[in-house]
Amino acid sequence: MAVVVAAARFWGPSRGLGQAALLALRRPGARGLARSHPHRQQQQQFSSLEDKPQFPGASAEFIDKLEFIQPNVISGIPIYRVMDRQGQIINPSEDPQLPQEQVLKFYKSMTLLNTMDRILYESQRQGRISFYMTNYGEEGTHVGSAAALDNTDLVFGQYREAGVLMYRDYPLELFMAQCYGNVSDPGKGRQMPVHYGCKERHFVTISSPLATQIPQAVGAAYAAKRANANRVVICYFGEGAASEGDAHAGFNFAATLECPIIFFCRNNGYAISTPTSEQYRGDGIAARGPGYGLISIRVDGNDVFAVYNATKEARRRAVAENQPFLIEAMTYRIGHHSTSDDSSAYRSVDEVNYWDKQDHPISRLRRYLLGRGWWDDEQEKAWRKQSRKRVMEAFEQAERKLKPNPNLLFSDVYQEMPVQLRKQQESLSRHLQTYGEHYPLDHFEK
Amino acid sequence: MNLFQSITSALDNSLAKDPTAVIFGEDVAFGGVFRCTVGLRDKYGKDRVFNTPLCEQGIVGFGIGIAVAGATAIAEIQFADYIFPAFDQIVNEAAKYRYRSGDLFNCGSLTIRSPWGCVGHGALYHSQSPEAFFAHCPGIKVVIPRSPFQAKGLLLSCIEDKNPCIFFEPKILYRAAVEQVPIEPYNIPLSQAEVLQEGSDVTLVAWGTQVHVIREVASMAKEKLGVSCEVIDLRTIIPWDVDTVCKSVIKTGRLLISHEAPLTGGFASEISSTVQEECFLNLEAPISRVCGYDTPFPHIFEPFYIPDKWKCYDALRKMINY
Repeated sequence: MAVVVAAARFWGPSRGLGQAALLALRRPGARGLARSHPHRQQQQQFSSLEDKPQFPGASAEFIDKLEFIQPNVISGIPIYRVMDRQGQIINPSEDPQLPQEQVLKFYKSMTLLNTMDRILYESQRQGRISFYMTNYGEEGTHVGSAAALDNTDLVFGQYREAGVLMYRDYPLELFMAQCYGNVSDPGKGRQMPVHYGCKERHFVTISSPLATQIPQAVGAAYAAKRANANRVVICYFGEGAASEGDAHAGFNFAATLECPIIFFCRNNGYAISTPTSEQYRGDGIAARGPGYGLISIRVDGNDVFAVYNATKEARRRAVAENQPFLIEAMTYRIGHHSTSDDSSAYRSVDEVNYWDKQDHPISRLRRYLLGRGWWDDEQEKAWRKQSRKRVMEAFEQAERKLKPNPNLLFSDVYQEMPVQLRKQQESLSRHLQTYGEHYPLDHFEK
Repeated sequence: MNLFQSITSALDNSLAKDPTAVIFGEDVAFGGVFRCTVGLRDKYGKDRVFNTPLCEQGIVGFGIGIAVAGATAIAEIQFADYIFPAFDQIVNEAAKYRYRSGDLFNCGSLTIRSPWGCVGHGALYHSQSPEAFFAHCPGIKVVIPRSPFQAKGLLLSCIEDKNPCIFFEPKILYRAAVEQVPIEPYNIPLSQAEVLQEGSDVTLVAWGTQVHVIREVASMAKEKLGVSCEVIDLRTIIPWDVDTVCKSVIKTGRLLISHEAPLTGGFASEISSTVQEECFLNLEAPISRVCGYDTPFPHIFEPFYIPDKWKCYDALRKMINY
C-alpha cells in the first residue's frame, strides 16, 4: 500500500490530466478519438476516490502479493463422456436417447468408412492410387459431430474427416472418383487423394496446408450471421494444426466478431511423428479457449454420444447467441499418418493395439447396440459382407474409368480463361500432336 | 476528388449496391489511417464496416471465408509492406480455391486493398511495392491505379470481378492526386493497359505513381531530343495486357519499363522477357528497365533510390543512341 501512496504523491501535480486521459480512453469506441470532453467524463465516472484499476485492457482487481499463475497440466480440463469403454451409459440423464434408426446410421457410417479405408489403403500399396489417409480410430469424432449438425451447416475440414461426408451420404463412387482422379471426380482430378469437396453437402473442398481453413471458417460464419441463415459453421482441425498462426487468428477473430462457429479439434495424440508432448506444453487445446474468450469443452472423442451431445448443445447456442464454441475431442490415431508413413518408427505396436482393442469408437457403439438388442452377430456378419461388396463394386468401377481430358489442366484458374493461358493450352495441344506417344493419353478422355 | 476520396466513393457505391458487401481490416471503423473508409460505418452499420484484430493472415483468411460463403469481402491490409503474413492465404488458398475444387467453390468475391509504394519518408516498411511476388501466382488479379478516376473504376471492377483481386493504392497520391471523379459507379476493365499518349520512337511502360514520372520523361524527350514516346499505363499486373504492349513495341522498336520495386525479379523482367520473345525482330535496342536498386527501401537515401525522371531520361537517351 505504501508503494501505491508514494506513487500517487509523485504523480500528483499532473494527476488530474492523467486521470481524465485514462477515462477518455476507457469508453469503448472512443479509442484514438477525442469524442467526449474529458472534464465532463471525469465528473460522470469518477465519483469516488476508490483506487480501482482504470485500464482499458483488462477487467480485474489489484493484488498486492507477487503471485504467478501456475498452468495446471496435471489435472487438466475434464473429459466429458456418456458411455464407458464397454458401451454402457454412465449417467442415464446424459443419454441422448436417439432412436434405433439413427444409432444404426452412426454404426453403419463408421463401419462403412472403416471398410472403405481398408480397401483404399490397400489399393495405394498396390500402386492403383497414389496416396491415401485412413481415419482409423477417429470415426466417432466425425459421425457424432456430423449427426448433431443440420445438413446445411457448412463444414471446413482438415483432411481426416471423411466420416462427416460419409454420414451425409456422399456416395462411395465419388469418394473413389476423387482418389482415382477419374472423369467422375467433381474436383476434376486436380488434387491428391482424400481432398474431397461437395457443394450439395456443404463440405468445403479440403486443401493440404494445415489450419488455413480456420480463419476461413470464421469468415463464412460471419457471413451466415449477417444473412440470418440460422446456420452454424463447423471447423475441424488436429492438435498439430492448432499450433499454426492461422489457428490463433481464427480463434481471436471468432470471439471478437461474435461468429456462430464450432471449432472442433481432433486431438489424436500425433502430428505425423510428433507426439503431443512436443506439440504443446499447456493443457491441450481446450485450455486455450478461455484465453480467447471462447466457451470450451473437452470430450471423449471415442464416445460417439459424448461427441454428439457436446456438438448438439454447442450448435444450439452458437446459433442462438452468435458466439463461437471450442470442442476438443480426445481420441487416438490408430493408423499411420498416411500411406507415406510407417508409424512403427516412432511408436510401439502395443500402444496402437491398446486403442484398437480396448477403446475404439466402433466397438464401444457396437456394445451399446448389442446391449439394446438393436444388433446381433448375424446382422454384423451380413453387414460386413454387404458393406465390403458395396465398396468393392465402387472400387472396381472407379478403376475402370478414364481420367479427365488434359484440357482440364487449364480451366478454373480464373472464372474466365486468360488470353495468355489459352495460348499455353494451345501450345500443349500442338505438342501432343507431335509427341503424344510419350504421354499416357490412352488413360485420358479424348 | 483526391485518391482516398475516390476510394471511399467506390466503397460507398459497392456497399449501396451489394447488401452482402462488408469492409474490414485494422482501423477501418473510424475511417482508416488514410481516411479511405471515412463515414462508411455510420452510413452502413457496424456489422458491415468493422475492425478486426491486428492479424493480416486472419484478415485475408476471414475474407476468403466470407467470399466462399457467397458474400462480398473487401479486406484492407494497412500497408502493402505487411501483406506477407497473409501470403500463404493469398497464394495457397485464395488463388487456388476454384481450381483445386473443380469449380465447386471459389472466393471470387474477395478484394484485398492495400496502400502501396514510396511516400517520401516511408523507408523499409511503409514504401514497398510487392506486386512481383504476386505476379507469380496464377489465380489472383493484381491491379494498380495511377489516379483517382482510374482508382474508382478499377476498384469497382475488382470488387465485381469473379476472381480474388489485390488492389494496390499508391499512398503518395492519396491527397496529392486530385481530379474530376463521377459520384455514380462506373467500371474500368481489368487486364487492359491504357495508351495515354501515342508515339512512334519509344514505348514507355509503368503503373501507379511511376506513370506520372514517365509522362514527364516523354515531355522531356520531346523537348530535348525530339523523340516521340508512346506512354502506357499497364493498370493490371496479372493477367497483363501483352497485346497492347507488344503492338506498341512492334511500332516503336524500343521499350523502357520503370517501377519502384527492386530490379531483380521485378515485374519489368516478365514484360521484358515476353516482349523480346514476341517482338525480337522489331527491337532496335535492348529493352531498358529503370527500377529501384536491389536493396531494401531506404529512409534517408530515398531521393537516390527511386527511379526518377532523370534516370528514366538517361536510359531513354542511351536507347535512342544505341
